[in-house]
Amino acid sequence: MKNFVFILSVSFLFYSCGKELDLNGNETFEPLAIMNCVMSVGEPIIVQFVQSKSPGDTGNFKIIEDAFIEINNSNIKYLDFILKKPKDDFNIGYYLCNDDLLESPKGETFTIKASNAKGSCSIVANTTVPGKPSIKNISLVDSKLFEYPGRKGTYNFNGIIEIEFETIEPNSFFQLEGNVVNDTYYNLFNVKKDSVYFSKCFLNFLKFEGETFFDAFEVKENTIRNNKLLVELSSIINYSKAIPDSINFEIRSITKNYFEYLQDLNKMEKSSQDPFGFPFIVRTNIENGYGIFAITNPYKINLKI
Amino acid sequence: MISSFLFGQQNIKGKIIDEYSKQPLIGANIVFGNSNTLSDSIGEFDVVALQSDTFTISYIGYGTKVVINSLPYNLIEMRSNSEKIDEVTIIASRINKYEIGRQNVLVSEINNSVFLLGENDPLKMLQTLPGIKYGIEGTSGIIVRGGGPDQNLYLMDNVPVYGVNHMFGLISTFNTSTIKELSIYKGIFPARYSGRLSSVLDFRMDEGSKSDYKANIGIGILSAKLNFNGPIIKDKWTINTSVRRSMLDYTIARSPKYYFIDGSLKSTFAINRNHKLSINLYNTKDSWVKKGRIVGDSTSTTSSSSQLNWKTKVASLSWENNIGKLNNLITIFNTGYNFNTSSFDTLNLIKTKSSASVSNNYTTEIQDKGIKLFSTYKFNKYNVSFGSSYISHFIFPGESSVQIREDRQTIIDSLSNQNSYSNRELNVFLENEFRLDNFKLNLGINFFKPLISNFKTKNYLEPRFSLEYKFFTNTYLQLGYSRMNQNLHQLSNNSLGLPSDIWIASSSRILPANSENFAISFSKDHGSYEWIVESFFKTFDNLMEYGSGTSFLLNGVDWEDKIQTNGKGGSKGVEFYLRKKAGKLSGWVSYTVSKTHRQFDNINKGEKFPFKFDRGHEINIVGIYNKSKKLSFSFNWSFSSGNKYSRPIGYYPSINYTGLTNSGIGISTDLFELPSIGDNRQTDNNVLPIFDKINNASFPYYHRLDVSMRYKIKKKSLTHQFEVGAYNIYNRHNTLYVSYSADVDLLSPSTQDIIGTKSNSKLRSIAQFPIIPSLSYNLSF
Repeated sequence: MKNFVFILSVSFLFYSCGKELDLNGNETFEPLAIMNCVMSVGEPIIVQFVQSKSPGDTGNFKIIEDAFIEINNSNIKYLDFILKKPKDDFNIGYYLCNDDLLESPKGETFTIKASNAKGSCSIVANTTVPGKPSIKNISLVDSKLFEYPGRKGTYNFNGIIEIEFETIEPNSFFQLEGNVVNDTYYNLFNVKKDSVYFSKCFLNFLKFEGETFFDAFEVKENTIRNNKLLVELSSIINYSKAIPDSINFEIRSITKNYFEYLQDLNKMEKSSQDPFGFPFIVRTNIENGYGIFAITNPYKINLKI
Repeated sequence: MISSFLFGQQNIKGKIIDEYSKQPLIGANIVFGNSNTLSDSIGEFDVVALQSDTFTISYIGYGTKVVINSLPYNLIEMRSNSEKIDEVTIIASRINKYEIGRQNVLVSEINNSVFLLGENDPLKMLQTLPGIKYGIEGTSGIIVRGGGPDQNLYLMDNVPVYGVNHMFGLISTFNTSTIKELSIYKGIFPARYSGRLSSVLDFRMDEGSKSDYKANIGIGILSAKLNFNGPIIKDKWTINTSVRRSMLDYTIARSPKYYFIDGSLKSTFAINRNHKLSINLYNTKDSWVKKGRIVGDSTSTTSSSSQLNWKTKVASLSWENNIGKLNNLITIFNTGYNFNTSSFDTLNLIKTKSSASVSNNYTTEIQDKGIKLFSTYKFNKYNVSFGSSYISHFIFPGESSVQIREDRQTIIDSLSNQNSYSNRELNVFLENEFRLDNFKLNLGINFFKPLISNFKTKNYLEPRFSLEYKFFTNTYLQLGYSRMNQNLHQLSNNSLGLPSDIWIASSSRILPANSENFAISFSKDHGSYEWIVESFFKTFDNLMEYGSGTSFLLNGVDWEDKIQTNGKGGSKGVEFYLRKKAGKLSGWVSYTVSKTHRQFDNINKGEKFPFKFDRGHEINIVGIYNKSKKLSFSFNWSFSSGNKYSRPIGYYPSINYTGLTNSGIGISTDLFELPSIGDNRQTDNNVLPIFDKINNASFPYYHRLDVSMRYKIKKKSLTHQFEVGAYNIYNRHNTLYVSYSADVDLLSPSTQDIIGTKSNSKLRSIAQFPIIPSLSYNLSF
């Protein structure tokens, strides 16, 4: 027994508390060029051009100022981007292209080139304009709006958006989004109290690959047939200010690389929840940097409830 | 035969049995003259020897016995070392001569070692041997020569076992009180084994004593267990049964309530000397239940509950018979594993007496039915084994259901069902071992054929080979090669072998994985100690990964679409093993230096990357010190390089898909003075890490010391044993995982120039196992 007491006593001399370890070492950090630009046909062109930052740096991303940015294809050239600085520190800087709207037919390939003033960092990327969704008809069916039991002034909304396409071309990629007008919905992502954004859905028509957001939005896979898609809205939403009267709905054709990028964001979000899993690496189509360069082609409609 | 008589030789047969239980000892080493052999599957041997030869017999966990060759048939009884533990000094123990790639483990050594929370665990014992690693600290999963946790075949009396984890992997389901012996094959496999790429763990279950009743009751911090064994009909019919249950739901927390239970029963009936029937039943269950507390106010109440359950079931019936020199073992079995998780949330509105509820349920399962035939035939210097097996796998990858109800009316009732399917596999093998002077050669072939509905599969041939050359007495050079195929895989996000991982079988799109194993070893047994040096080289092909960011809740998407296939890999290394077998202090030192990698087309840009558990150096020192008849001490010191992890080289902003439209949520366009028609998608960013390579960094060195003390009191037929121990006694902070959150604070008011400056950021190292004491009591009679 004496031996055991001795061993225990000696062992406690080695006692050490749990601690935070510096696993970064003293490596010098080299920032990389980051470019984010998702253009939409008929909308202004905005480019974010910043530097990456080191792990654990809690400061803002540093804007690459005085950058030269050029977007062009064989017929059109967009130049003269103006750096728009954020109003406060919440936002991150971007370049706006002199109020020009993107106008281009399907199939045109655009190239973006961006470099800093010294020319020491430059990036290049390409993307192609997808065709506008060939919609035959969009309608809201089986919609129900009723006051929530026991909660005066709040309503539930259920309904199905039926989208009928003229044709669906192979390798088409779409993104759905929308909002119920006049809704005040309290979710963590909503800072604008006039509408609810109910979409995080992107899909490839050959095989449904998208994922829906919350339980408010459901794409019934079995109904993506005969050029028809049913989008079921089954949210339990509180409307505290005004009775919603319509839904703003958009379906966008998107490029394949943007589709993959959105999927990757989803996967990365999930993988970050498992500390033992592989980290998910979001794909990029930016040469010499990271980010995304893509084009979407929207079809917008307001549907009365 | 004539020449045999001319030189005074004759056929000598014998059977080696346990002195106490009368059970046959399989694989005992029999040395005579300049030759040696092993006892067969019923403990018998048949050799040609000189009349003057003496036989020296040794067996793992038993003393050495010398027998004068006097009879044509010798019944040799061996005494277990565990019976001699009171004699203070363990004499002994040579064990079976080392065979390349195979390691035997003494049950008595498992019982005398130190474990987390004092729970004896055969798999954790194996983690101290060369070439065998733990995956994540504290867990029972084993990594054998660079293989994944699903590349290990667990056999319980020849029947595969799928779920081997209790407590989310912290301890294994194997209860040492029912195990008779354990062998692990970690590279060079005899042809009789097939089905996994990296190892075979062959558990032989104890039949129970043929002569006396015996019971053991144990209680520790974690669990209580009971074992009973003895004859139903003396020398003819035995039973051995055990049950173990965790006590955490009584001792620590009632909510959430967690418990595990496992039970086994083996009964053997000897019809006569040549026919024996055995039945083996084995069940385990883990249950975690969090019951919802009702919370709320005068207007409404809510509650939320959830649960996880996983179960393993094994049932087998075997018939062993001897027809002349031919020994046959026929086993039919049913084995399976089931995992289920569910949750239930409710909302009750008191005034209106209305209610709403949401329930989720997810289930995955694998069920096997099969038959195995194993035969051995001995003649002259040849020892031939042959047999076959046919197994039907029923695979249920997963079913996920969601139901939403309001006022008892179902609003949503969705069922996402992965199609269940069957996969069958046929194995036929032939193996021959023969000796020539100082050489022993084992040649074998295993024919494997997966049978998949509506799909023509190819035939797989698995050659096996091992050669032994004896330089001097007890000094051997051995080399071997084996090719293995794996028809079953575990879909895992993180290679941990968690209970939620899904078992799937090869299909028309997922082909069997395969490995090729080469090894060479040099070993010498000096009697009281032995040493082994072994080098291995191994390649993997057709590996699969579940991929990161993929949920096991399969969401209506085929699992085949979610996995990365056609992966390759490799592992190479050298293992050193020094073992002291006799004296008051016994134990071993093992050291492994190795390197392991993986390669997938869609991971790490298609380039090779280190395997997560590629710890280059691994040292284990295990000691058992018997100070007196009553008092003994054990310790285990482990040291290794750290596990690999992926360290980001920076962060960058992403586009947030929640901020796509100017009318949608996200950041208001007005806030940033954009034109009202502007697209605000560029303004609402998440932060993404930049990884240039997968597994590009290592955790700090890992080391810890575990100690325990046992004190035994024997009074008449009762033996009391008290055990006190501690895991990680010097409380080393060993990194379990690294936290590198992407939640960079965008609201920080400062804007810093970060070009060219040193990064002083800290990734957080998370450790989960500080010093953990243990206490247990055992009563046997």
